[in-house]
Amino acid sequence: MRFILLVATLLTSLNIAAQSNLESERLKPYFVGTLSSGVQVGCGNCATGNQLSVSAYFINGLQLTRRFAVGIGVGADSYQQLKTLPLFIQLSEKLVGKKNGLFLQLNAGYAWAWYDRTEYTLPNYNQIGGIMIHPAIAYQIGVEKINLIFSIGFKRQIASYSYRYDYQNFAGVVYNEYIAKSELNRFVLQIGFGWRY
Amino acid sequence: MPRLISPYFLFVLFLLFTFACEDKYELEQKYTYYEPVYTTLAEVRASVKVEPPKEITEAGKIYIKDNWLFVNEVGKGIHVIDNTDAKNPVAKSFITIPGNYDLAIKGNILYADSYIDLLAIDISNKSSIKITKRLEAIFFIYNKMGMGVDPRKGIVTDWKLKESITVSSSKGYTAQPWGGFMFDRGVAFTQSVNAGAAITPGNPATTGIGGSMARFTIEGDYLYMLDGGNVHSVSIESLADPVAKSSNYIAWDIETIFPYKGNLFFGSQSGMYIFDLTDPQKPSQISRYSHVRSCDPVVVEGDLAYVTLRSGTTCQGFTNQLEVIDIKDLKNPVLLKIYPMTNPHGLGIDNKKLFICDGDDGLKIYDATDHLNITANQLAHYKNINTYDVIPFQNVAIMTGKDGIYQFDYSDPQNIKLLSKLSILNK
Repeated sequence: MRFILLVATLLTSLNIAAQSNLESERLKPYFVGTLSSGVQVGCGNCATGNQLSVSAYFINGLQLTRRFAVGIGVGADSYQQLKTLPLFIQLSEKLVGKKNGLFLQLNAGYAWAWYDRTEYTLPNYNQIGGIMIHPAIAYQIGVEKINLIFSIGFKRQIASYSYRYDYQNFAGVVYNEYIAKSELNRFVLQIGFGWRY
Repeated sequence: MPRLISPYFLFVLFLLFTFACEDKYELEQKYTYYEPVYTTLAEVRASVKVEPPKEITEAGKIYIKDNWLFVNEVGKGIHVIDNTDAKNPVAKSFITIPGNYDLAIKGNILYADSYIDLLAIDISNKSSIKITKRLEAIFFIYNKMGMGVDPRKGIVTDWKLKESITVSSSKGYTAQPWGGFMFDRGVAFTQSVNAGAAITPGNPATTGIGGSMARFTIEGDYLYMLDGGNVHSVSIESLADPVAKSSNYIAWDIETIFPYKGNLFFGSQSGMYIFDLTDPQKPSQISRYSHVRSCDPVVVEGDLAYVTLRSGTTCQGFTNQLEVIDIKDLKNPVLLKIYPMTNPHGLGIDNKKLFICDGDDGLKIYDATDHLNITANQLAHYKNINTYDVIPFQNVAIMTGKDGIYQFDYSDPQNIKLLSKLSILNK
């Protein structure tokens, strides 16, 4: 529910921001792309300390105004106990600077999840992905058509798996179903390579 | 500078500050279980009565006495069928006995269980029965069906499916809240009670004939009844006045009982037990023949015991076969031959004619004169019937199937004929 409220707020605010930007800084839109990768820092079991895992994105989108861009991306993320494949939208707004500049980014979408293979031995096993949301602050060092992007942010990934035992009892069939939900929170550092078409 | 206070900036900033780097886990467990539904003992005991004939909806044990066929309606009572003309059996009445799963008859007295009680019912007048005695609470295992079952509330007459959801932060297994263990319906059945038969010998003039899966049997002046892993010895010297004499433990997995020449043969999931009845109140073990775990009815004729083993949900195992065992030396039963079967249930033998209910593969009839070559001497095979049990007696084999009770004339083994079929109204 909290995510729904946040996304609703986001859409409202973006609409306002985008209109404002488009009106004030009109630009012929052009295509942009980004390939980035980095590390995710967080802990499944914090008693054993933080753990590192990897993350990578490939995003294609449109630079709509001088400040505002929107894109669609696909990624590959790793956590200690599972891997995910996120499909997301990226909204990016430049805060300051021209060629080089500071950005705010929001990556939000859905990710499919694959848990460690040992879980496959469970009966009626089902893996369920969930919402991925990843706000970040990025710094872009740009040249004419290519640029480097350094970003730092947080990622929240929801994922779950379920399994179910059905068995014959003396009076009929009964079941026992377990749904294990995970909310994975990670500090994310990425380096990206961007270009314009 | 005004750009920095755009709603988008504030929103992303808000997200950045609200996130933490620690994972959260939640485990939701959903499960169903059966909760006992109680009926008071007074109510159960007051409901035994004779009613007009009813449709058979779930046939249990079958029993033959003289020209009458008695068919147990699982958990509800007994259908009384006039079988004078096997080509045209006529349902005469239905004896309502709540919690009834098994029966035996001697003279004009029908012995039937009713949950925890044993009833002796005078059936000399089939339309006006009379309970001559009730042995209250003789079946003590029934009240131990689960830790959560409270006998003070009455008798468990039904089970209601309930669903529960719990949310916790750790993995774990939650047992059924009523604490029960697997137990079948009725009088401590450890297996499904869908019929079972083969000749339970005795003196047919006075005693009826039950099946290979029977849990009640009569030998001499004693009625023997299985109750969980125990056997009750009830004196029926005075037929109308049965007296409980003793209860003896046999084995936890016994399923069926079959008397033969002063001995009791118990079929269990792990083997066949042979007990001596020199002291009818205290059966003593002579020997045990072990086999792989499976459901196991047994019948005996001459020096041979015939045992079918089958797999299935409640039977465990993967074995489906007929075993022929030499019991000439009761102390040392010897396996002679194994014949593969499809999914054999009840069986019966009459004068070397062996009848096997092979589940979905129908009824198979063999000439067992050459017991080392039985399957090569098949007399008939009735396919397309899901078969449970059969009683062959005096040239008429009565067989229960999923859809009906069939009667076959086997007076001419080379020309076995279907005489009649009583339909079962499967719900």
